[in-house]
Amino acid sequence: MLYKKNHPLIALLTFLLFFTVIILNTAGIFDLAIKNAVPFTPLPLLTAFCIFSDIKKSALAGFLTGACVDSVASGSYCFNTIILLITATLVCLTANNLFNKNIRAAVVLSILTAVFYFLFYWIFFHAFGMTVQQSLQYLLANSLPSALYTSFFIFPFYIIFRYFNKLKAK
Amino acid sequence: MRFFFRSKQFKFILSTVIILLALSITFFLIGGRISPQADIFGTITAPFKAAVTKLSNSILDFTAAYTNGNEIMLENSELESEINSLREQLADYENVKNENEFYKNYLEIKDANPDFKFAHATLISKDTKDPYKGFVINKGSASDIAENDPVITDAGLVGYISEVGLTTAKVSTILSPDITLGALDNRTSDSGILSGSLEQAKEGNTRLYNLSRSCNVAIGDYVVTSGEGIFPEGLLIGTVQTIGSDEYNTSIFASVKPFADIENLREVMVITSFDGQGGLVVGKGE
Repeated sequence: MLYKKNHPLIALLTFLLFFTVIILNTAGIFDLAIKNAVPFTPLPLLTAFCIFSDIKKSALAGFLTGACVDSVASGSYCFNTIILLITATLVCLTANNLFNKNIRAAVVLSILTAVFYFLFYWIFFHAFGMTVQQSLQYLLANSLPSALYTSFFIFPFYIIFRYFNKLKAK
Repeated sequence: MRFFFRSKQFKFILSTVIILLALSITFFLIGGRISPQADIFGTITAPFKAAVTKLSNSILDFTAAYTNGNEIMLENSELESEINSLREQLADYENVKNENEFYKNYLEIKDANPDFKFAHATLISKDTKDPYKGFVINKGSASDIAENDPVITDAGLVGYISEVGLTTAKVSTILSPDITLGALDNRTSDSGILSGSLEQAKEGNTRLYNLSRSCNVAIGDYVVTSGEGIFPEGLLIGTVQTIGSDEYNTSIFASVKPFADIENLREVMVITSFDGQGGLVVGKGE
């Protein structure tokens, strides 16, 4: 694995990108929801970042993103911090060892991370709080569409981080 | 990859996850407190969230003011510049007027309930994944806000403080099934239990259930808090939209449309103190 030297401007832009996406996602300004599908945009951003980063940066990004999301999520305690830390680590490991870093791999990873996240979210927050029928309905009508919708956001973020990666390589 | 699982990095990440799990369990058992890492990041990002929310609200207000002023602009095209200037003044005036109206309405509630102590708070972020429209306000324990404090607007009850941090607090709304409170029909005094459900939340409604079969609840009746649990008596909740019976046909339930516009809230008041506060917490869980 070849890790390029740090680039302060790219680091700053990456930080600003994370910050903006998290703030916009939590401020609820741009309602990107389509019916029951509510996208969780910090997740594909994190996935795209981890594809081109080393394990330390990925884990740190997962931790910080999760902590920021937990600060607004209802009754989540440390759910997002834990799940995004694990997700970021797994994405980085998978991208560096099993996959290429091309767009197809990014799409597959994005779908997997989104399904992983929304499945755990459903298990922890909805599966046991309602009847079996209601919880399954929620899974099929809300969680899975949200996961699929979320994974579409990988495209812009992947392009941005691939560009950053090319800049660093120069 | 197997080398990774023997590395220090893996051990460090695993230790972090274990510590976070322990924290989660601890804070889940304690309840009512935002976990420390989320509290720190919530405090750091709160001013930015507030600024972004304010900017977004200003854009919405400006758009509304522009749309409203369109007819006048068409009729007086030669005075366009003057109208723009007047519109800006009008927007300022509207802001001040709304602010005054906001405090005046709360003053009326305060006059009717002299024991109430309010803390004014602004909504700074929403949990977009929460189907029950939970949100975060810019005040926390540093402003004397505590877990289970009722949250209202001048229109009616919004919810309660479910988790408190130092400078922020999370609010669970009356659309959530986590909340169960005693409520009654203001006209007939028929009492029941108010709690949210996923189906009702999709419509922006909550549900008053356990009403007796002989009750006289009618569509359009006002529903108010009965004073049991964490909420003071007589707070307006909403109006009865539909009435039905449960699956065993043993009791009646009513779908209630909250008076507070929970979807588009900007500012709320937290009742930090009232007579009889600290009663039995029936407000959480079923």
